[in-house]
Amino acid sequence: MENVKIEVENFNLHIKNQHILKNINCCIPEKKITVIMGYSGCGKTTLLKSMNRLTDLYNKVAITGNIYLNNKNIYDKDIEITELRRKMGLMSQRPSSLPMSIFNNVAYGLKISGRKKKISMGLRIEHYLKQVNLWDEVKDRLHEPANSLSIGQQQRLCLARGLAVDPELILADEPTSALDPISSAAIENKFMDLKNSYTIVVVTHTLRQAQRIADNIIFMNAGEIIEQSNAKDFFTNPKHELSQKFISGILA
Amino acid sequence: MVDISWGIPSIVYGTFAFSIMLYFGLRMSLLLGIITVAALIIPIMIRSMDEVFKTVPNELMEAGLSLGSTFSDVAFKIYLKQCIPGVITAIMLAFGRAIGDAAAVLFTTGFTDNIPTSLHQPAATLPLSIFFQLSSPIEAVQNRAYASAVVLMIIIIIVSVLGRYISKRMNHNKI
Ligand SMILES: Nc1ncnc2c1ncn2[C@@H]1O[C@H](COP(=O)(O)OP(=O)(O)OP(=O)(O)O)[C@@H](O)[C@H]1O
Ligand SMILES: [Mg+2]
Repeated sequence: MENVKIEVENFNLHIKNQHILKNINCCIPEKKITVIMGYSGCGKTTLLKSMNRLTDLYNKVAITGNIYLNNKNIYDKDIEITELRRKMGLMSQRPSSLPMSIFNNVAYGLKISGRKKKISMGLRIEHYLKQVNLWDEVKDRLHEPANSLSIGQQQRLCLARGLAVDPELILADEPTSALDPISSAAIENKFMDLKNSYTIVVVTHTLRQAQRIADNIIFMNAGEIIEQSNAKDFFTNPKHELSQKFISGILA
Repeated sequence: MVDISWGIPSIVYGTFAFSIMLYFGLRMSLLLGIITVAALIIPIMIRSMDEVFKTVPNELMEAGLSLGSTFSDVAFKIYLKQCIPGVITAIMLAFGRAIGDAAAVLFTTGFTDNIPTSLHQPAATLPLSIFFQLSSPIEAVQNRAYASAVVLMIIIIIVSVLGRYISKRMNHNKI
């Protein structure tokens, strides 16, 4: 029996009068890769942001239902939101590097997790940049501004920064959308590696990527969860008509 | 409100402050001039800094928070880095307006030929010196007006070059 890391229970989210997430119920198992798929605009990003309460920043948002992290409701009043977000490790869909150097971007993550020692900083940063397959490209320009990197490089930088925080979960919103096949494969392998110690949720539009890395699939459409099952069942034997269409649609 | 106060001519600030001073029976002094000019430039600063902070993409806040920073950490360690060039420009804009302004200080700071020794004495601002000295019949005094003008220009040039330099230095990390 696998442990449940996150449980979403009867979760609804409205923005203004729009019903964005409709009665979501799902489980994210611990130390597995869960892939969320669905057509653009179906609410994948919103679901991820609800999990680390970034949706608190939205205007006119109304939420009902519960989300549990380690069996603790994250919408409870006594929850430490910064601590929650630190554990959650969300990489946003569009990479946003911080307005500082490449080095300091990763250092920022390290400092948040309390690892401030100057001596080991350089080594740690090298370690995290290697993990995301970026080290060789940036090792000679660590002190240049992060915004001088290409989008794909920034995407990997943000991942490195997120890992440096040392979260319990990794919520990656289309982490390879701007990457070439080689870098994507490197990130995928990284995730396969990391799932031994982290719980990973990945949003992706690439069906093949989902096939390669997913243990579980959550398939969404128009703010609802249509199907959730383990990856093998989903791809070989989708239960719902919409999932069948989605799979064949992309493969065709 | 802020926008309206930006549009008000500085002479209106000056006379308004002057009428308040009359009401309380205060005499012209350096301190009152400082207060009036501050009232004049605060709206400029607020408006232009507000514009600067508005240009920061939302994602920067989201990125900072999702790393587990507190709100104030994001504000001071991330937003400020992003905004410092703009903030410097805003300060320079306000400084330029303040140092060159004659009307607001005409009734509040007054004018004197002596160097003030306390905040409660009247003082001569550079624009007012230029104005009064130039209207003097004595040529030596008139020449002093030109000297004041040169000093004023030099100060403005130095400040703006320095501001530009600093904001350029800080700008390269901006996203
Ligand atoms: N801040 C917001 N204000 C208003 N509507 C929003 C906001 N954020 C998201 N939405 C709406 O919520 C719906 C779901 O958006 P979301 O970003 O979650 O989609 P997505 O599944 O991540 O799409 P994509 O695959 O294109 O990234 C969309 O219809 C979007 O217009
Ligand atoms: Mg999205």
